[in-house]
Amino acid sequence: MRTSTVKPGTVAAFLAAAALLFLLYIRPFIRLGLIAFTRDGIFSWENLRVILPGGSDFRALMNSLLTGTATTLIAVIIAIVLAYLLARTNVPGARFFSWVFVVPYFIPPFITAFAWTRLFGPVGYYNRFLVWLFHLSEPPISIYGAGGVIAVSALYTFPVAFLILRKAMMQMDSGLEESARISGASGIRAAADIGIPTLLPSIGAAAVIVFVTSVSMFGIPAILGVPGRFVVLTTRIYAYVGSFGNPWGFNIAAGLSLVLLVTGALGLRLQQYFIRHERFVTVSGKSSAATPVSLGRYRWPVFAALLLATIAGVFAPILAILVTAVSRALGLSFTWNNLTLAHFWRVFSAMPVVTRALGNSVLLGVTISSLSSAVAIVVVFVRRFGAQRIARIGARLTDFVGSVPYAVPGMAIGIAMIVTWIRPVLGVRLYNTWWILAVAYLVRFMIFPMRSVDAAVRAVDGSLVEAARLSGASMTRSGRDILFPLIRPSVVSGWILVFMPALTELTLSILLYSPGNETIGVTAYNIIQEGLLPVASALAIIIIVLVLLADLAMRRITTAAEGL
Amino acid sequence: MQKTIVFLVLTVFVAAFAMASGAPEAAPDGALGGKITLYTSETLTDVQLYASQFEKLNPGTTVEIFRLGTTELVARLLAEQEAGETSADVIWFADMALFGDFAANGDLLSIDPPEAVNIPAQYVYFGGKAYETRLIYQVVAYNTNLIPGGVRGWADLIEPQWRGKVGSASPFSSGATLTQAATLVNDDRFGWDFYEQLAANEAVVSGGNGGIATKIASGEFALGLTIDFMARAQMAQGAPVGYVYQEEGSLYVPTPIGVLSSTGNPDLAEAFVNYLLSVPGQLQQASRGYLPVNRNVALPEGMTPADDIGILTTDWEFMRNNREEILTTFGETFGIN
Repeated sequence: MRTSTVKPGTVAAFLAAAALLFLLYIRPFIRLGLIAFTRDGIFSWENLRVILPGGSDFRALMNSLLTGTATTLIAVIIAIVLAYLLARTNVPGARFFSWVFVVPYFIPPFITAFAWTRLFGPVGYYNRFLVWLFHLSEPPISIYGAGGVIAVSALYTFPVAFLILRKAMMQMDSGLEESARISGASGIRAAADIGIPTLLPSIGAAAVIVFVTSVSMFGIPAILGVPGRFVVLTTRIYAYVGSFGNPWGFNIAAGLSLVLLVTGALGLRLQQYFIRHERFVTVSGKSSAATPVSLGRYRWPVFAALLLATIAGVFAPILAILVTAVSRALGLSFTWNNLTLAHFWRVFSAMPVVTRALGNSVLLGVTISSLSSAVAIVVVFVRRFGAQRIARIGARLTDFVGSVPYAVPGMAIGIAMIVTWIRPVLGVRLYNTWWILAVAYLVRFMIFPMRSVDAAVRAVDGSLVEAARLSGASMTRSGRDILFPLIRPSVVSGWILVFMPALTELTLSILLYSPGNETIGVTAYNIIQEGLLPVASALAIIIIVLVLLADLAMRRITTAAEGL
Repeated sequence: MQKTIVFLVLTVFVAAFAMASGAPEAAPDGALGGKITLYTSETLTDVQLYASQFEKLNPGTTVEIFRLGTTELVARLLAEQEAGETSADVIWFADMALFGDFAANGDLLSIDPPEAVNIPAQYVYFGGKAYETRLIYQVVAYNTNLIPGGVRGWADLIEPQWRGKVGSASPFSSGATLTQAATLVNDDRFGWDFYEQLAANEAVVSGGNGGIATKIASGEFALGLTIDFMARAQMAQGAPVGYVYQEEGSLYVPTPIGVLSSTGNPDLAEAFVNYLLSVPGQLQQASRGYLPVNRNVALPEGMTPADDIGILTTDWEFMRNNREEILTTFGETFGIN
């Protein structure tokens, strides 16, 4: 690393970054804490009393913890099984399955929840099938309540755990397991005694992500929990802010957000612990090509089981809303006469709120993706090439921004933004404008490009840039001509990683949107809650198509990146 | 290949964006122009129909719709007023008590839409500060496949036979259900007892009335409380739905529309209210299953004249003074909030 004198420009940049960090990340959460611990400007514990045993929201806290724990357990088990089958065995179609099992993660969770009501609601297709199959008098399964929230949360979150574990299993040195097998251990014994312990840190990291995600989610418990009288912290926060009746609604909402925040922060610590320990195990670098475990005569039965899971768990929900979207009315039999495309037509041509919201969301997505990518590039480049002292600050910044918002639940960011911006700050009015959404999205999504750009820059061999510098290229020039082309695919995929969730964001937006500044997530959610099911279904299908298109584009780009 | 796909995807998003950002044309001189924002709890697809027709009849005008359930809408409106700024020009939702407050506080503009002369006097509220454009009642609707014999009224909802198959909107969303609670708890025949029995019958309380009607149609609920026009709209689509005006009395749900004093475009706001009261506006509402109020519009076939519908009495003063308490008790009774 070079040492050079600190230029005034870098000092100014540093000050700007510090101011931005303070305004975006620090001040809102200080405000949140202040509001949570005061009533009428006086210190008070009252706002947090509601979650103590005997308090009105103690049940919500317990339900949140139950949802988080059960979801994590189920999602991680599914992920371990799938990752093992698809990364370590010779099951046919592993590539296809590895793609298709990630799809549920790209579909906005509130849409997944809505879709599952079409299957396991009291008159859902699965329930009706079971009633017919077993001659039951009542639908056997109810999607509304704890079970539905947990099951659908697990289906939404398992892909993240799957991706982490699949990567770990692919990198794991298969020699260990092979030695065990050679020494006479059975396949299951080898997996249980060698494979699982080796993977524990990765499993831990995956579990933490799933836990924090499922505790922070709003859409699934709002759609599946509330009708079954199963309330969680996020739905309570929304109720305190979105409904009148309690003069301390905001303060209590801030208090509950703080609880979510603490859960997230603890999760973050735990995750860092696991990641640190990952370094000491044999998941390192690229092992010699792993020998796939032969499933023997179970090869095709396993394939059939995976195919069935794909159809029942991934395609069926989409199909269910598609059927609803083309039905003239509910309760009619599914015949040609009762099919119509009118709902799609109506969504596009006769509902300005939908087109307006789509415009807002696309604009938010493009703006936030571009802005966060640009900031990430600057910060990461400073970290890589800046003078030592500045670079160290850059490193701190990337680590901080890269990790903190991940642990901060969307609802807490939303409440923090409201309490910060409800009154104009220095004459700037953000509340009830498009801008408050933009700022909140930036806080929420900054992590994605920061991570992918940082990882890409680290992967580039320093000698390439050194060579350019030695040949006389300036730092800017070598960055632009050597480094940037190499990391471009990561920048693009980081961009899409922000664009996709930003496009369909609900948890933050439901707290911050305003008339004229609706997002597509909020609009779809409101239409679902209003009970306009056919229209909601048509809109859901449109959103799924948009999201899958974006996913397709990203896959193309990252495949291209791997080819470099 | 890769470039083609990226290009296609971008095209789709750009098209979506372009579609969303079409600006209205400028108004000709002397005519109505500009934009108003309507805060409403009306069924989104219905109210959009009226707004679009109004815009078509008055080129250069825009009626932007912001739709939420009454209770959530009121929370937002009050919060915005407290912050000193609301985007709303016209408000239209089912909270008569709040309209009363607004009228008394000078938050509502006195308007004089020409069509008002064709509206019975009892539907012009607070000396012209708010109007009823159509009549709606909260009724008991049922799925005709599940209950071929039909139902009679409120008492059917607490029949153990339908345990777990009874649906109702939530007062945390629906102004009609809040009005219902304020009405029933004050009625000796019902009281909170009725709600305890409803809860014991495992009634599912959630969302708005439209969702209840849809779920009765789909058979998710055998019966439930919803708005008469929503039941009629389901029936018009061929769904297996029937409804009755309860023998004990139906719930009349006033849904006033009024113009906020803070509006920047009172002429357009008044013109929109006038359109809703006029024959074309009334026909449009009737086509969606609402009972028209304009004397020059005949009652559509299949609708019961307002005079023949027995209604319960609502004490607006009681609702105004006890709104929060009613919500809290209701929430506790059903384990929702």
